[in-house]
Amino acid sequence: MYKIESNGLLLVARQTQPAARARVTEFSEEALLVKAVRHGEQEAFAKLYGLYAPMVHGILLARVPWGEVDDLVQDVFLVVLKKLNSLRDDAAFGGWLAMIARNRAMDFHRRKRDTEELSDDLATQGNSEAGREAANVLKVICGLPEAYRETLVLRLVEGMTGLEIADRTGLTPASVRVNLHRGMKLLREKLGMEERV
Amino acid sequence: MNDDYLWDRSGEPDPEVERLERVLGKYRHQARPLSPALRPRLSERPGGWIRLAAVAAAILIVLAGLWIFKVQNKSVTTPRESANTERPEKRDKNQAVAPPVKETENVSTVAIAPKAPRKIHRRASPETPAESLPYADSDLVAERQPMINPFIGVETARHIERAQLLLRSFRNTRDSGAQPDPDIAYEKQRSRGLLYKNILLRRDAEAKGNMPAEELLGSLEPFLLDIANLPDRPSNDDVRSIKERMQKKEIVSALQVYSAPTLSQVF
Repeated sequence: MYKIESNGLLLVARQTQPAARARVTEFSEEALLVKAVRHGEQEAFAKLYGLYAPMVHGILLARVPWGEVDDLVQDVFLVVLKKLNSLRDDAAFGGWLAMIARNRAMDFHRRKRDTEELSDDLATQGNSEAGREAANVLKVICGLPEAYRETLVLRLVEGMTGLEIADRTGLTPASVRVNLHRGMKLLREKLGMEERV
Repeated sequence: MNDDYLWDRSGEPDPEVERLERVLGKYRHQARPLSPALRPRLSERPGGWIRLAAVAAAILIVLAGLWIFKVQNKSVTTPRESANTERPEKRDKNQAVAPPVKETENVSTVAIAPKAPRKIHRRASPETPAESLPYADSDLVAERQPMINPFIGVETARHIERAQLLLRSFRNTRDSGAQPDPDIAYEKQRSRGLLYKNILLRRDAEAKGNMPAEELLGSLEPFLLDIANLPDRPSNDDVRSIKERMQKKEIVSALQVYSAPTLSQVF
């Protein structure tokens, strides 16, 4: 999986640029897995799924009700299987997958208009105080601008680091850092306002 | 506020972020095995289809090859089978018999009738009566059973057959002392006609580089010339001299070899 580690140049880069270590490695692993999936290897697809499912889950959670997320994650990976041949650059798989997840969330809301659904609260709220607090925080996050809420969900819910978010989504680390900083600032303000209210 | 903890959980922990992580942790993605709905789709990946398509293509190619081989074999055997089974319509006897040689006083007339295009038939199967074949009642073996000798054409074979008949006829003339002047007017007349034809055929064989035919016709030509140049009332010595040379050269046997069906016997 980490065949690129045998490359001497890469080892030097790892020693001198620790910040770029994960990025380079993930790209290599990602490309190898995507190639393997193209050849129909189920094991490679399972690894790819395990690697990217949290990102897809976070992107969907920032846009659709929590109870719908798991089914939509499956839908997104079905689309991946169908359209993988249309992906030109294997290294861009993360950004491509994130875009599919965002589009799937938009489709969900488009179809939702034609059907009558239960309130989000029924799916998200729990009986406990902690459950209600979690639903409330998530609702506040989902009210933030799209760039901030997606990054915050990936960080606070899925537990991904800034570099991992950048690697998976294809964003630059600087963009992720800015989104995290500004999104967290907005979230604090909104939670503080609500606390005051 | 420490952004390092928010970035990668390094540095001093941010209590607010820690609390949010703890509260929101219930929404975190739970690692689960791959959905059964995705597994069948994996088997439909292009790699699997490509292998399946390659196997199917290989099978099709093999089947197509077998079919072509079978069709080709059928087309090769069909003519023989048709020759054995289909009987050509019996031709008019006047057409089947080779036109008679003109017996005129004009010595320059070539004793070969105009040739009509004829289809070569292989020798009939044993159950096919010989009378049903074209030229079956011809007096020439070459016409009844055309040669398939690769060096001798049909026309040359017909000429050789006629020359052979002439030489046999000449050899059988009586040369006893009771008849001092044998009548060989017919042989002389016949020999002149065959001589011109022999010259034409020999030159044609020479031009085509057909060495066996050229050699055979070249050895035949002196005999035709000698017979044609005999006086009207030749002496027995003249005739005997030619006969002795014919026997010595075994020209009749050589002609017989080339006029008899050779390859046709194989089939």
